[in-house]
Amino acid sequence: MKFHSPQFERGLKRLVKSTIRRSPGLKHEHRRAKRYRRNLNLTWLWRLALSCLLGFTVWTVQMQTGHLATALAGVGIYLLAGLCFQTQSLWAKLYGSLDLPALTILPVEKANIFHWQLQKFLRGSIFLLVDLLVMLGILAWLNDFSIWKWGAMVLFAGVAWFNVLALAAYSVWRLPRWAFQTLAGGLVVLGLVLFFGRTSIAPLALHLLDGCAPELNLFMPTAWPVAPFELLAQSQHWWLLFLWLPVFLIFGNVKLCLHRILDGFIYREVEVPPAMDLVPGEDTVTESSGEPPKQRGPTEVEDIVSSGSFLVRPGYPLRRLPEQWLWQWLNGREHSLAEFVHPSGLAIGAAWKKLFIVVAATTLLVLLAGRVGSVTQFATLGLGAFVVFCMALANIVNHGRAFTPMWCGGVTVPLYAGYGIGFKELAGFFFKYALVQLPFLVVAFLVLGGVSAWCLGMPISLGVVFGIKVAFLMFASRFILVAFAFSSGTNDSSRFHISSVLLMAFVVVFGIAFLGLGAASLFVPMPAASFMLLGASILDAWLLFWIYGWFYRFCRFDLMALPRQ
Amino acid sequence: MNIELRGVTKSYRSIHALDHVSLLAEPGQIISLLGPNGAGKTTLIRCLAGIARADKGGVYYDEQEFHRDRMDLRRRLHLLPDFPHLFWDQSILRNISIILHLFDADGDGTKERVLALLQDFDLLPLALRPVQSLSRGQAYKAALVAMIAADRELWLLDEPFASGMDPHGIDAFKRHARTAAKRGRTIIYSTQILDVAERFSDRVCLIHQGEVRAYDTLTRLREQAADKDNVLEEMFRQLRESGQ
Repeated sequence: MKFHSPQFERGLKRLVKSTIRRSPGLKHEHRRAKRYRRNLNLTWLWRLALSCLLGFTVWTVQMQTGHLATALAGVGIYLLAGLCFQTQSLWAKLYGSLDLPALTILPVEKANIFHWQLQKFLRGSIFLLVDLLVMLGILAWLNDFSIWKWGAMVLFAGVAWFNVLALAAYSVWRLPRWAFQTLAGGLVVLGLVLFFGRTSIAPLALHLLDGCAPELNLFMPTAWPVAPFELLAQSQHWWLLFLWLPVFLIFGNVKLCLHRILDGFIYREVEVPPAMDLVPGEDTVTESSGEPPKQRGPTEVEDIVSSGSFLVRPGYPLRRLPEQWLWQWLNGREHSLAEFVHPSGLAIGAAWKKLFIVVAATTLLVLLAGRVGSVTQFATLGLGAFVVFCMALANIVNHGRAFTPMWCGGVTVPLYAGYGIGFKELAGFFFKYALVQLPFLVVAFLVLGGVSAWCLGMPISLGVVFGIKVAFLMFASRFILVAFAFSSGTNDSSRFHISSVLLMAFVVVFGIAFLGLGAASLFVPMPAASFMLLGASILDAWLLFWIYGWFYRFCRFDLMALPRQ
Repeated sequence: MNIELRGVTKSYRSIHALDHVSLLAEPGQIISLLGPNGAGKTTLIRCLAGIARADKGGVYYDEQEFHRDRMDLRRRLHLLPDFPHLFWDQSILRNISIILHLFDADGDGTKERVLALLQDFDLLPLALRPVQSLSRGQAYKAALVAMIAADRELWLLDEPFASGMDPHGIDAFKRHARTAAKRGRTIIYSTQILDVAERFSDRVCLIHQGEVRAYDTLTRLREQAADKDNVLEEMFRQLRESGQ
């Protein structure tokens, strides 16, 4: 489906180009305009590299375990991450696309807008199919498939791909409030941890995966289409074919899902509720109270201005102890920054309360799962630890609205950049914000480490130390993540310039060193050496932040970025 | 196209953005919407474009009631908001191509017209660049080129003179709008610049607190005014005084 006529556009382009060519003045201007540095679009190259890496991973899994089912479970887990990404992508295309405002004011039926956005979503999901073709192709090659089995492999890839898309549509319809982005981010972090810990953590994870692969293939909806792939490699488990039954049920549901989404895909007029007057020093009455909005007369407003009461700082909500500790620690300038970054108040205590509930639930479930079997116990522990890790990361890396991109004149500028806020002071506030949370982080991972050690039959003290190290590594990652957050609002990596290349080289080297040193600190058996490595990784993270700060201070890039869809 | 608003009322909860607005506009006129900030000018434009739905009353085009789903009527009007809504990752040419195609206006002779407009608005060397790389004024000019090329019966523009366009662009817009009005197109735009409104409109519609306070030709408004040279300024002054 196209909203333009390619024939018309081709003709127009030809006409424009020939006119430009005929006029030296226009030619000169056209050349000057072309000098504009375009945002480098190397996404497809990265994606192809990722497909190859996935193929290599699947190959490694099959070679090391010798079980096709384990490799297929790995594919299923990858598709689970893919499902999170695709759901997020479909949601963004349907409700957050930059094209929607333009299409809203043009004479287009909503069904056409919907199908256009859907088409863009499908185009964006093609790489998922490429990943599947590469992964299943590698497995087909390892298992010496005949020609017709290679054909079947393509069919499997297609069915698995469509299954993910169908599940994404279902998720957008039925589970729109799920944090798919956080889940996807967590799975990416997990993938990175496994990649960089391929000699330490990965074998353990592989062992775990090998143990529970058949169960995973049975219970993961994303694994259902690929699980019967085993049959092509002379497996006797014919019952696996039954897994395609729910897959076909999902396919049969696609049309209904799309209809339901389309029903809700209507243009909604934005109605800004009338704002009530916010009188300094008075509590605001919320809308839910049902009271009509209070409006003050000009005399009263005049009184407020002339008395200077509007200059008096309103009380900043500090609900729990951690927020109060942080507030006492911050200086005057940082108080202003806190109000700027978190205008509705700090919420450290509540977030950690939630996290400790998850830690407690995980501990309890792990104890109960131990009665079912070790595989179930490990799976519960893994899932719980993963959720806790994601939640802790979200608590530590809370940037509020500091880096919210603001659209202005064809570029986006991070919010903080418009308010005379410096790199060092904002970063300093974020570090203090993270440091206040360090005791909670340590306690959470100390408990998880202890539970993990108990499950693995290792000394509890070893697990506790492991947990503490993980907590400190997470805290150290704050240095790197602050640098990345500042980077997100700049053009530091989107142009060819010596300073950009240098910066990227530094970031890559120090980033890899942090991951390497961090992984080593966790698994080196000698305590003294492991703590030295931990210190080195923290220092490395700080150095990365410091180097980024140097580039920032010396204005090596602009505080603006070209917007991306 | 005959445009008629019959008692259009639009409220945002307790705030009346438009209060029983009734207007009649004949084809071939340039109408400027004037009024203080928050008077309801943009809401009126949105109601005319079908973006906002009137709570009471209705908008009628050639005696036919207009609402958002009337695609046949929507194809006869074109809205250009104060910040142009475009396909930001696409080139100027693709944007124009999409807009013309959606208005069924990419027939014979359009290419030449688009070329002439691109030249007129100094956009030709930038025609292949993605819109997101343009300045606000350039992006607005790109949207304006599409609007002029599509040449609908009703042009609705929100604050075109505060769009970041350079003087040459503003001049080109005025020229094309005048020619279009002579061809029978109706151009309704909002502005805060009284000098522009005085020179570049056949009719003036003064809105205050959602109500139409004056709607007449400039000649007739001048006849009624004490200060004949600054008729709009005087009207605004009176409006402020009556409000206080």
